[in-house]
Amino acid sequence: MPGTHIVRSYDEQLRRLGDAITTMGGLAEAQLASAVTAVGSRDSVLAERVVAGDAAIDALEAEALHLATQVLALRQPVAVDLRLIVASFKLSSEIERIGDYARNIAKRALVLNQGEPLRAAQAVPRMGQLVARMLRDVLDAFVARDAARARDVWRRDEEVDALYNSVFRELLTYMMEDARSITPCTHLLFIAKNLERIGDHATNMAETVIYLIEGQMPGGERPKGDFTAAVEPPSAGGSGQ
Amino acid sequence: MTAIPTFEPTLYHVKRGEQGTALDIAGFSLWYGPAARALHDVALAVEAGLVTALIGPSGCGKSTLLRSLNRMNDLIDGLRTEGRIRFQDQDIYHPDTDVIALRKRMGMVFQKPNPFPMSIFENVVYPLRIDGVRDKGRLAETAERALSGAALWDEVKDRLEDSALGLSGGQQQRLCIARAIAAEPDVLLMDEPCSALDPIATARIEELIDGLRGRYTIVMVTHNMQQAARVSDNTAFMYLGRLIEYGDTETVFTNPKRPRTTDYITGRFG
Repeated sequence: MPGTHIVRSYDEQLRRLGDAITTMGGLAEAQLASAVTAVGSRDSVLAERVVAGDAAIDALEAEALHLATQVLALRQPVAVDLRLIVASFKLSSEIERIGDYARNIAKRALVLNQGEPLRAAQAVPRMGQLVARMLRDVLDAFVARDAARARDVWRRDEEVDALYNSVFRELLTYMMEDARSITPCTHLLFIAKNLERIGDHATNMAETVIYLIEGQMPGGERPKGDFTAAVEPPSAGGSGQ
Repeated sequence: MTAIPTFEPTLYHVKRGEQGTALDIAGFSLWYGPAARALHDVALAVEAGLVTALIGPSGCGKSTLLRSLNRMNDLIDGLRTEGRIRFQDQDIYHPDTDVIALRKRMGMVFQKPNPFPMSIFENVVYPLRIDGVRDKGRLAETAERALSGAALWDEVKDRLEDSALGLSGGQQQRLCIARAIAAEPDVLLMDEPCSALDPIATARIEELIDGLRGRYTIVMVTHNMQQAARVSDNTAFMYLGRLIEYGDTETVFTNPKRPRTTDYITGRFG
């Protein structure tokens, strides 16, 4: 990381901005973990807490926006400082969205917990752990300005997509076997989709962290493994779009 | 004799103009005395028709480099140079070079506006007067063209005979630019042209520089980095007499390639 500014209060402002992003990310990470646990262990109290906890993330987003705008207006940042401002705008909105998905998962957990336990609910925690690790790693990459780690997260989205594919197919099978499971399975499907979307947002964050460090977005096609929206299953090496 | 290190464009990320290279600086070094080396092997190609900003901390050699382009440094005792600066297939430091003719092709604008103590009109046509031009029609035509070119005509057209010293600082600086343009140079050298001006006068000069782009090759030294970012096409960053980075301004200010450039433009300890 570059050295300190001649004007110390500038460093202080940038540090506070970085802290706001990191704190926000940490909160989203905790919200996500709790939401996934609430699904797996049918814990409605925990789910309620997640639903209520989202407001804190939104408040931090507002703070990050305020800090970033302030630096932009007062310091005319350039080079890596400017990229931190741009990255902060992007990262905070990605994290805010992740928080929304976590809250949505918790809400669906509350509904699911009113019915019978489902076998398929077990695939969700696995996906949740995978996505939570991506989020944690991309935040670590941001704090340590570690492009290699961000790039690793960027590549891992494929795994999440593959897991989502298998959950999707599994849930379809249950719904065909037993029409009464359609309502809970649909909720689980949405939960899995939310997790898959969180994976996408973590991947976006990884791109932003790479941009912050290297000055440009990573090149080449983003690795993809979600083919549930494809008309034809992919041929080897083909794209799912 | 060893080969002169020439400008290597692939090392940098320079914006190329459509008019080729105006000034080709290769392996250029300058000493103000035996032990006072101000420039170290500077290699840089200034694109014709574009605005090139020279930035760097005080004492980095940017003004020295600017003043080397029209041999303004010649008057200093003990000055010695090495390497070459080529301007339109002519070596500026060749013994046969006509320095007066060279300076006519390179107008210069200084930090502080320096109008002569005479009328606005006489200030502008001064370059023609010293060439012995008497034709009133040609003088009037040149004055209007140069003052319009310097975005000053509308403000002074009704008082051309008034003293130039009665103009505001910003107007005086535009008058100096008009005087430089009147000589029909190819290159305009500007040494911190806005440092003595308020923000509005500065904006007017910047707007003017933008309008001169394409017609003149402009090389500008500035301490105001935002100004370099706003008006220049290419930016050269110098440090301790060396060229550290030279490239298109957008890249220099968003994603500089050298850590020292980052430190300087972001205001960090270098």
